[in-house]
Amino acid sequence: MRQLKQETVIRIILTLVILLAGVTLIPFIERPLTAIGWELFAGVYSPILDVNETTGAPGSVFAFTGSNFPPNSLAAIYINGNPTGTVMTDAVGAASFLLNTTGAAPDQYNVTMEVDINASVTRGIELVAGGTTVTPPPDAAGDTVFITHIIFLPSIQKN
Amino acid sequence: MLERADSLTAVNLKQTEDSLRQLVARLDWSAAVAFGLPFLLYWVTAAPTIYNLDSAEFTTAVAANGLIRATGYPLYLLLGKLWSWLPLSADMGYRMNLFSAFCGALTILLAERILRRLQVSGWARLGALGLLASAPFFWALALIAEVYTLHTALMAGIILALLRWAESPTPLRFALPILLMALSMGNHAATALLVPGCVWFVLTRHPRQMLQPRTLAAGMGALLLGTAVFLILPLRYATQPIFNYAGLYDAAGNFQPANLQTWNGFWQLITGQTFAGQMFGYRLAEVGLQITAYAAQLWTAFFAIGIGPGIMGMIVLWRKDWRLNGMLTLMFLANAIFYINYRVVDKNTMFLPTYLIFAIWLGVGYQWLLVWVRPSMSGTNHHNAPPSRFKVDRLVQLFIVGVVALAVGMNWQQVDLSDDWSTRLQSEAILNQAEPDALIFGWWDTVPAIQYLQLVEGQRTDVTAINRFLISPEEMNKLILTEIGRRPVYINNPSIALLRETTVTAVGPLYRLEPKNR
Repeated sequence: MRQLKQETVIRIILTLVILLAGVTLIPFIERPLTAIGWELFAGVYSPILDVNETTGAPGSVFAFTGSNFPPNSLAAIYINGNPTGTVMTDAVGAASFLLNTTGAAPDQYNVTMEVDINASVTRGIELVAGGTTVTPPPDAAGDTVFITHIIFLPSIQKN
Repeated sequence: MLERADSLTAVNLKQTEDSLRQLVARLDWSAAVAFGLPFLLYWVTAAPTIYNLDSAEFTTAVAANGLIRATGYPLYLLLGKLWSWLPLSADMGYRMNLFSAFCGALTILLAERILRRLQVSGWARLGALGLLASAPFFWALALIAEVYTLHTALMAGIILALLRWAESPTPLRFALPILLMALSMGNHAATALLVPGCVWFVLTRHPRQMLQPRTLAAGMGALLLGTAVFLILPLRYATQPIFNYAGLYDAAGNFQPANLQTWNGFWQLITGQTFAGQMFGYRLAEVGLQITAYAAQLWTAFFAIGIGPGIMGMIVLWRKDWRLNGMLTLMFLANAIFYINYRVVDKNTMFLPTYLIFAIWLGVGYQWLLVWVRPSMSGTNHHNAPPSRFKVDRLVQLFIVGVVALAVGMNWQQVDLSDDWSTRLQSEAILNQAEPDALIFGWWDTVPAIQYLQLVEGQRTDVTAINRFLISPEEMNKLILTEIGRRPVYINNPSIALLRETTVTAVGPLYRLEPKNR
């Protein structure tokens, strides 16, 4: 009788271990709560270009982040349609860059990030004289592009 | 006279009551519940009208007798058409959503038959298939017009047919899984991923039967009969359907359909060569993350609780029937490995075949646990054993069914589409804002639903909508720059080349393009 009880207890414990094995992973796996809808999969058709601020004084440095682009691709940056630099998108199709407005006149500027004709997005910023000077967040990353066509040439010295 | 009439009525009533009783007694309640409960769940939460992306394309193609992009999906076009004739609703989009609900419930029913053959008890079946039916992506894909639940239903049918053949191998029983397999290829090309498992099962179970001429003839006949469904594609092509996603637009805006009456055009469509670039599209360093993501998805699908018993079931089935489990494992691995390495945005929706296999393992695992947890009666007389105060296996039964109820409750919010009119509203808004004779360019999230409203409901037929998938970027730019002076042109996202040459104004979710010098 006692042996039977002991065996039952062991069996119950082992059953619980098997049933609850998956539960032990709860701290390590985040259960997605996002609704499963078409919007979840449509992002690929609509690249996004986010910027930390949309208005600032000339001399501001804006932080741009593109997402939903083709992964591992070269994206061109355009200011008002003029090419100003390139960035590489990462494995999930995101890329960041900084826009330095030093020397630019107060005006509206359209910033475009484009991998190809099917993956292109434009975002406007405005430079206002006397406005707040925008600085990028401390964790902002990426190459810097300039509104004015400042070209930093390597200095060549003749010995 | 009246008394006689009364007694006749009484006799009739009695007969009706008896036949009803017989019917109820003969009814397979387990099967009825396996089909009825999930179907009810899906019906209540199904999208009420046309849904977006592929769903809109499938629905419009079925309704307009059109053609779908690669891989053509001829079986879906055929069965969808038959289903669409059922008088379930005036809304074609809703009717096709219910087709997925039906196929989802059919999958559960067929999986129930498989588990029954594996001698899995009713409680274990309910627990395992309840989790499959309420797994977020399985549930979600049973609510919109899609090919995935039809695919899992056919897959379950193939496994069941193979089990029947293994029990009593006759040429006709051998032909049935081949017929289903060939038909299934006409619904989803991923059926090819089931072939290694099926071949393994046949060769390990009754290899000599393969050498019998009658068996081979039956198999060939079934293959020919099943693949005949592909004839729908060239036949539809011949009718020059108004809705056609098999082809490309040129720079003049003329649609150049792929010639499905030539072998080259037909083969290119059904083999999905347009998507070859996405297959095995990850670098080696990225694959680890994809495997982790899939493992997390499976864990979520089976509500954490199902993972341990599922793995247990897989081990138990190896010992019980290694031939069958070899087939299931090959099917699981082929699907998991292929889709883990498939670089598309909606890959999470494509793992349902692995869910089905895991649910079978889970059922076997639950059954093993229910037997295991009972106190051993070895060495004692079962009838003379002292009655236990509570039955542990009853508690486990309640637990596994309780988990299903919890999963349904917790996943409901995540998948419920019963009030989702977003696709119709977006498409109607675009058509309302579009000027007469407008030309609209957009992707899957914009254009197929607009075409549904035009071709199925007759709205704004003056507007031309072109899916950017069907035109090369260069041709699209040329077409836009040609048409921009003649008619209103809208696009979902203008490129830098267009921004340079046009004036762009946001109109709803689209942009109106106008010549700069206007």
